[in-house]
Amino acid sequence: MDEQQNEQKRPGAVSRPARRVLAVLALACFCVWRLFSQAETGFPEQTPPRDVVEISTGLADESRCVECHEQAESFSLTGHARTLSRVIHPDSLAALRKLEQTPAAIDEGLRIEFSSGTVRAVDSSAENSGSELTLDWCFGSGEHARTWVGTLSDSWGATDLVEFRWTHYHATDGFDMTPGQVESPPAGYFQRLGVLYDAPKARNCFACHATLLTFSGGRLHADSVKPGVTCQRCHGPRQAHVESDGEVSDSFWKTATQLESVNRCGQCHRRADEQDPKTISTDNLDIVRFQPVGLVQSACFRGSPKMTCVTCHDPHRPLSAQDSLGIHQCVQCHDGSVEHDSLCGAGHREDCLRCHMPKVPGRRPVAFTDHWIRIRRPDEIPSVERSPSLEQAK
Amino acid sequence: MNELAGTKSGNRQSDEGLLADARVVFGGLWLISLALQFYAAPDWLADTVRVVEPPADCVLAEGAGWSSPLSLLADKAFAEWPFPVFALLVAAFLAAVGLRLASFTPAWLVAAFVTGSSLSIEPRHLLPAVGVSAMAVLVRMKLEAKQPEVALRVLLVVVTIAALVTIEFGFVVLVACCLLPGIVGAISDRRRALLESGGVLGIGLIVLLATGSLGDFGAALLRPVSCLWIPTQAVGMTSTGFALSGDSLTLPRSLLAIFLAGVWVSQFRRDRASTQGGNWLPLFAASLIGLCCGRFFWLGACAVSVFEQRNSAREAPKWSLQFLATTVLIVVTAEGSALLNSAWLNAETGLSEWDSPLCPAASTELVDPAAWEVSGNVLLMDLDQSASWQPDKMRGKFRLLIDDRWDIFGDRYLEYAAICRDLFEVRPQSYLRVDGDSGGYLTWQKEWSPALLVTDSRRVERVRQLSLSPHWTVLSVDGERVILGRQHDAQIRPQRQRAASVLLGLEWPIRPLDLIESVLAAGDDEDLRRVAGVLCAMRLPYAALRTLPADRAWTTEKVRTWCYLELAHRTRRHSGTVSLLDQFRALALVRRIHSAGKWTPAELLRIARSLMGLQQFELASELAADFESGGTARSSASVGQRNEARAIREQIRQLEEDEKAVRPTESSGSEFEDRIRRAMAAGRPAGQESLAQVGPELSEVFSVLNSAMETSAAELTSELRRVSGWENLPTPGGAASETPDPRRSELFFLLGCAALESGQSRISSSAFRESLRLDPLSPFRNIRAMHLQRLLD
Repeated sequence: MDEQQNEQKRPGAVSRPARRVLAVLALACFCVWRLFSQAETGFPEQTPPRDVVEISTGLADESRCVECHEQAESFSLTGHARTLSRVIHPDSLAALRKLEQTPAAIDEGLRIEFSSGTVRAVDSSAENSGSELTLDWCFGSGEHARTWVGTLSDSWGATDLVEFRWTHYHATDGFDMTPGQVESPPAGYFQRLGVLYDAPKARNCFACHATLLTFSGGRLHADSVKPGVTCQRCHGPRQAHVESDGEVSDSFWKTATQLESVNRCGQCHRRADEQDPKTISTDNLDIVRFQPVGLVQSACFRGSPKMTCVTCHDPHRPLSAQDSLGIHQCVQCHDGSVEHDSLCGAGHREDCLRCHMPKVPGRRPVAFTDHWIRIRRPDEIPSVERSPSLEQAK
Repeated sequence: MNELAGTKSGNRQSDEGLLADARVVFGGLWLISLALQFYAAPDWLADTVRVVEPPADCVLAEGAGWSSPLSLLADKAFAEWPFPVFALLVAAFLAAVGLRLASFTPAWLVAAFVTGSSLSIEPRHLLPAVGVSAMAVLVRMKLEAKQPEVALRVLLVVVTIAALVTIEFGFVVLVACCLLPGIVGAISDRRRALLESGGVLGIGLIVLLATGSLGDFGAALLRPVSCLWIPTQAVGMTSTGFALSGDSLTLPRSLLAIFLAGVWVSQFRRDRASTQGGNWLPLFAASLIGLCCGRFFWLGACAVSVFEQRNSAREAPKWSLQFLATTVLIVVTAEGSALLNSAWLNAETGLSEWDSPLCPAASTELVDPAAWEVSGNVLLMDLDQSASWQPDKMRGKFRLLIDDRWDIFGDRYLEYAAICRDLFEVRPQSYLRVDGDSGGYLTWQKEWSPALLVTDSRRVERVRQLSLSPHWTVLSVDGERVILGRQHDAQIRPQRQRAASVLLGLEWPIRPLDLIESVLAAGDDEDLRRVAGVLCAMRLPYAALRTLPADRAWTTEKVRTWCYLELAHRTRRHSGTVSLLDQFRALALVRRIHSAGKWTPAELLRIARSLMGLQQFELASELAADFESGGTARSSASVGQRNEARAIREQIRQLEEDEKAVRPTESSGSEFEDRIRRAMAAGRPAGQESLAQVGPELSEVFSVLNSAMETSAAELTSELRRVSGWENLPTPGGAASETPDPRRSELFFLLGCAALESGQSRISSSAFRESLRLDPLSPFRNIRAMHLQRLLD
């Protein structure tokens, strides 16, 4: 009775049946929420952020970029945009057909079979007859070279990759051994067809040559691949940017420090802090392949408050359309107005790159510009013309 | 007067009767709890349990984190108790709680509570559980005795003691908060005003907590609720996930869930029937904490049990037999269902499986890294392993980089999870993440320099990827964990060499293995299966087959299937053609397990992917279709998995449309032989009609291969020797055959493989050499050369 009276005394008190229902409802709601939150479909905050190349959500249709950004007009012509294609792409097939004119490959017993939608490399040599490799992808835009790969599935379905033994080089418009592969490969099924890479390496290859990939359990879903390094590979998913008519924008390239900017390019071209410090020396010509590694060692980079890769390169335009070989980049600073940014001590007023950023020939018919900008002795300046492979090609 | 004396005497007799009944019930509960605990711990005599949490001592904690003063003072001997002592105390505690419940709760609910608790008690939760129970009972006693001030003091004392002895004192505080309204209600108006000002202080405390001003102490206080926002799956703390979801719903937890549900129902009824109203707040709070964090599930159930209230002052627990019968029924039903399942499987398929639902998988034999000449920081890739890492034992040699103290690391766990993901996906170099930061583990690895990585042996996909890492190498495998060391770390070189010697020696047995216990350890058959699974994931299928227990349980058969698939892929990768022995066994076993419905959805997809690599599109498509069509088991599949199944079927459809994409099978020249080979490659035995058409010699070989599913590797070797005319081991060598004999060369290749699998390395190498002599350019030349090189090394 007292209890009832007490309840009546409290004006805002919740009635007992309501309390019961509330308690049961609250617990039931909690259980339902938690059960759903456990499902893989929701709660993205439960997993750490993924690689931008593996996220399909938030991507904009890149054909719309051109509506506002004139850079997008010529972007499809850049090497970056064309750095990966299916093997059946006309440019890939045209290059691959030239392999038949490569005596070294023919002598090894290599044969390329073209059929509808399929390209197969066959080793018909006496000692390794029967080995074959289906080529699936063509890496490289052809500005420098093109290398083909075949993908294989391992016993757990992960995607391994076989890098084809022969690469097409732009400099010679012909084939030679793929960089890194040896003249006398060890015995094995793919022996003269190429080198087998495991799934993590395969993933790395694709990650630098595509804008969108999907992997599950190490398996690459080929249909999901958006080939080439396009707008959103460097700028991130831009759907929000497009939908907001540009109000939502990525401030990275405006606010990034010098090193952050170079490191963004270095994700594929190699960051200096990921290179073994013991290998970073002017004597090691192998590191010329990794432009950011050399660049950040340069006095120009260290002494400049703003020099980055994009100081000289416009990634939105093809190399042929930009004057990255001229001197105007150098004279932006070295104009003689400041003592620190002096003019050339040797008295040259043109072709700075020949001495300070020379092209270093590789073992194959391809040369790399040494981005370790420095003053060199005359004997330190390599000559592309002296490259045996390029010489031979001529 | 006489009447009064008679009443007193009657009361005394009644009291004595109640006491006797209580003793019987207590004794019965105690015995049952003890028996269940010993039953669930096979090594109970040798086991020790840690009842006091170790002090926070992680590298990345950098001195932060609240440690209870007792954990700082307690040495190992005090903190770790022998299991029998622990079990005796737990049984007494549970019997006491059960006895209290017995007087006003249905027998089946008490049985569910005691059985579930005995099987799922977390040693480190004993102290907070005792604290919570003692506090609730004492406070209620004092309130019944109209001494609310004393009750308040009891509450404060218990909370203070809890803060001194356990990091789970937050749970005790929570229970205290639930008791507080009852105390405040019973206290006089003058004191109540005092308490209300205390309430203001409490709100101030909450504000301090919310702003983080109380630092580590406050974070520890919030542990029961802060587990809500931990990304449990991502950071490998499955025990902190929702208690009633997924794999965590084991039998003990189910029993506790039944108990919880029962208490809610009885509370509901009591609330309707009595004038006192229900005890909803504590029931709701304890259930919520228990449900949101699997680790607190038992503690929550325990707290619920002490809040259960009797209706009348004294009722006799007269149903001890009823309780006993219920408990026996639970045990018999649980075990019986497993036995029945096993018997049914035997009848259906000839395979056996008996996984006791009561007995948790006990892995007692672990490789001891403290015995290696290695020291440094350790990264656990599954934080649930923190307790089993035994920090006391490892102290001085190893320090954990991060552990399961979410009150310390809460906001850093996602970064930790990202690093673990990069490690097992082998992504050392930086990459751009969607949040704008860089991924890749190399920079992190340089900074923190872990000497060892530890991952769960059951997470074989992760082990498989890690085994390809250029930076990490497997040092040991046991049923619980796989330990990896830095590839180029000079101090791990001796252990690395031991591991390589043992693992390669198991795969290609050419000499007796020594020091195996420093690399591999397994306590029981379940351990052996896990170790075999890891070895198979590391692409050592013969080593895995040698490790598997000699039973036909489904779990064993699944690992065996993966070994055969690995072998089939290995042959195909090295020869471009089919190994009739391995591929036939792999696919036949896939079909057998599939027809029994034993593949999980995730396994079905993995098998389908694997079969794609073997160009067995028909079966792959069948599995993917079955996955998509779904049954009750498939309902747990994620959207991603369903999409993948669809993608597999679509890919197969496209491949079938373009027949030229499929590597053509070389014709043997005989239609019937081709038919047999195709059937066997698809895991189907050769038909009698075809066998009759291929000649007696070939027919005999195919018949032997057809029987490979039912025979051991040793028997198969002996049979293949018989059909090849090699019953007496000939001297290998001799000039190469003038005319290549591909069929006999293949037969000797298969004999070499079977002998290698059965551990007869001498026969194996001889057979491979004979195969080489008969056909040097056989498609199997590369894999044959690889085996020969290993065997003659």
